[in-house]
Amino acid sequence: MVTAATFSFFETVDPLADCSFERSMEEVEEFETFVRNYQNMVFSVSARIVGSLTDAEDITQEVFLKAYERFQELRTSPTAGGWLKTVSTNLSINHLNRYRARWRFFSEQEKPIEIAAEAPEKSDRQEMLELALHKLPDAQRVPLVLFHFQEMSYDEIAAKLGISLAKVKTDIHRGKETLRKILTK
Amino acid sequence: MSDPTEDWLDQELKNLKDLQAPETIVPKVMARVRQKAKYRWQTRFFNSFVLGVAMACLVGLLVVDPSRVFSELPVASHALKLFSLIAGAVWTSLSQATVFQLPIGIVILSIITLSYILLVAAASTVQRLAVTRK
Repeated sequence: MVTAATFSFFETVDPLADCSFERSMEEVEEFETFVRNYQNMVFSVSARIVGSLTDAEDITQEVFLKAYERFQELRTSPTAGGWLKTVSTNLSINHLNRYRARWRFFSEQEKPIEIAAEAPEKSDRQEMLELALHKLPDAQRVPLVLFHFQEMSYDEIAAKLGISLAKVKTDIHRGKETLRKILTK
Repeated sequence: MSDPTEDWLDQELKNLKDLQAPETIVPKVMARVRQKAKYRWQTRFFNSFVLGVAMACLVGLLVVDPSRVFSELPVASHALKLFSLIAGAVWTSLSQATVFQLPIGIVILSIITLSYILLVAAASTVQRLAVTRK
């Protein structure tokens, strides 16, 4: 005989009890706050790696959809920010690999960067630097961003991008040289 | 780092603030999340419904002799007759064969029910322990 006690037991322990629609909706509301709290961070990581605000917006959405799949763990986890950073980094690098051919190809390109013409007159140093960062060639920008913003070591960057340690050092150095030139103009 | 220029650039990079995410991100993400949440709920409801139907069929098989029911149908096809024959054999095995003087069907049903309750209890305990550790 199914008593009220048996029913309540299943309500609390049965994984199928998660099908409560109200609970789902509460979770969705909580997730919205989560998105609002972390959206700038995730968007910044993606934008700085891919160098495009439009692509970064798509990647940010993808990151949060992945986060929703694991929201039960992330909602109480103190490392949720770190998880989001890692996922957005990986998705951004995948995006570059998918849509912009190979690293080695880009690393050979040495295009002059014209920032001053595009920068708004009132832009301060920080805006200038952000813009310059976005305009750097992928091969220079990505290792530089991973080193400075993700605090990854040279070895970790080399492993992540599948390039040599020497190349990582050279690309970061070149990237910084380019930024320095722009900012000291 | 002895180069003062490099220190200055590193400092500038370190001081860069997070960019402002476009306002369209939250509505777009939440629209897809709400769709997913709804779909997830429907899937779970359907799964539990299927589980319920399967259990009811098992119980029904023990109570009703399918071979008798199907063979009595006036327009029973050969395939249906074959099915009723097989179902009848299963029914006979489940109701006639005994283990510890209990019909094997009752034993199987009890084992399935107990296993399900044990699995649910174990999963729930693990989940609660994981949450407590966090």
